[in-house]
Amino acid sequence: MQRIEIRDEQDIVRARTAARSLAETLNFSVVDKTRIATAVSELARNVVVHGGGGYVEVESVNAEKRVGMRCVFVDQGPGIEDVERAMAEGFSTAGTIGHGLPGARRLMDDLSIEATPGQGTRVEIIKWIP
Amino acid sequence: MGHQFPPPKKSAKAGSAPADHGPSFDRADLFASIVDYTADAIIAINEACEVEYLNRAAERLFGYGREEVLGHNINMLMSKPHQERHDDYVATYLRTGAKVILDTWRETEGRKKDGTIFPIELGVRECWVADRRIFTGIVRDLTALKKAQEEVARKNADIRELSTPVINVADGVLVLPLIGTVDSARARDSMEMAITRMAQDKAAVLIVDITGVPAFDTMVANHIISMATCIRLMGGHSILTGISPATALTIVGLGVDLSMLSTRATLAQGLELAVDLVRNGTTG
Amino acid sequence: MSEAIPVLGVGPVLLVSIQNELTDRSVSSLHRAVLERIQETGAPALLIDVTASEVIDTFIGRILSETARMAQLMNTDVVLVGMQPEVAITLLEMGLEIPNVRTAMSLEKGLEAVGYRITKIDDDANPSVADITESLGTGVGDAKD
Repeated sequence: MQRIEIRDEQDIVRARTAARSLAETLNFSVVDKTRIATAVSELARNVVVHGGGGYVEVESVNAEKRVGMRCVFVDQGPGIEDVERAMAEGFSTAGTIGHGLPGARRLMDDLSIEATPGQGTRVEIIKWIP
Repeated sequence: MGHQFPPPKKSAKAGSAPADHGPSFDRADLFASIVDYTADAIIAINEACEVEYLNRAAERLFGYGREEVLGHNINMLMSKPHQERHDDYVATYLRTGAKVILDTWRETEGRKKDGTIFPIELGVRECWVADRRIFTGIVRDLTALKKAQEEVARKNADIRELSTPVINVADGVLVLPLIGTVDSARARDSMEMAITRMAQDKAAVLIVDITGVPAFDTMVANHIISMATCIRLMGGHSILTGISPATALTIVGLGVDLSMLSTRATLAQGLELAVDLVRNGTTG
Repeated sequence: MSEAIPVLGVGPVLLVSIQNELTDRSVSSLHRAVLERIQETGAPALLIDVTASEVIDTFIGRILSETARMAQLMNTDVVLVGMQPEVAITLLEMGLEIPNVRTAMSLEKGLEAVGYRITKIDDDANPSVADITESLGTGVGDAKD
């Protein structure tokens, strides 16, 4: 498990580089590597822009005879008030400024959010090796 | 009472001289011998992470002689990130009692004497021997398993490739013939493969031929539109060919918008257009 | 630390290369850098080269899209060049299709698309930017002198 502190935008680059290199060692396809790195980039940006900093933990997972990769983003920001809306935002109109959540969900196999207003947000994403 | 596992001196004895075959024997010696000769590698350490015992399988697996490891820090058998952190892991456990790897099996890496890093499955338990805390680890070599898994993955990839061939028909022109019922997974696979091949072959045009698709529905249409969108982003062209009158009716009936790709009735006409595009091609 | 993305002049054509390790701030500076150069030079065309981009997320994608639209408003032809297939697939899945911008598979094709042809290549299959610069003077097209 690798933890990367996310404080500023340089850390966004760092987070996606770390995610990509773990995906590389796990033998993900070129397209999946890019999907993972892109989703991590989106969510790391959320931590900086909306969460006021936090961290991401990147690790491989091994469950139910499947191997994959998990990234957990944690911040102590104001929290997402309306998770439903955040997920829907920017879904249809390309290029709007959303939370990047819908995009990340489409790229990954699984995305779950725990948001407590005033206490921060925890976003977990998983991609399985097909 | 037999020991949970033998202290180092005893095990050394059990190793060098098999137990005597008298009618009465020491149960401790028996267990020591069983542990020593068992097929799984077994290693025991104390709270200071010093190796107190390792069996024959562990010697073989890691390539060390017993005396090279006994009394040394267990981290000599670990790969990089864990090597430096292992003392902390143990210290954290001793301080907080939070079990991270205790009582579970997990995949990690080992390090042989010659420096080889290899995949292992590791199960660690805690036990008490005469008021001393001991951690025992059972180590299984996953090298062969991993190799087999990779082999299977590669075979699967080969099979997928065979089931959706991409043909290089002319300089800069690839053809993807879709045949039979196109399910979602296959459509996605063939799409990714065709697009990746375009980049590899530096092909400017992809012809998707649907002559062999019995039912052209919105799902197939959506996959083709997605593929065409990707190809446009990459700066290439896509042409849809093999459109029968029935398919044309379906396309219009479903209200599918195929305006982002060129369409031709036959593959031959599509090829003609493709060659033309490659010769004086610019994207629109 | 963030560095501005350089806007190169290749003959009359402007070229920006989006590298992989760019921070958000560098990417945000792209708008202004490009528009200022267009105003200075009256460049007829802008090539945005993403060959080296391994990740284009919604933020970078939006900036690229906006930069292209702004340049087009200033009557500059824009071509997006060299997008990798995995990046294209990822963008599409996120619903970011960057419409209304022309695309090309290579710099050479991109230059052709805006009316410049590389004429003076000897035995070099992969012309460097320097080669293109040199040969542009003799290129066809509506170059402004």
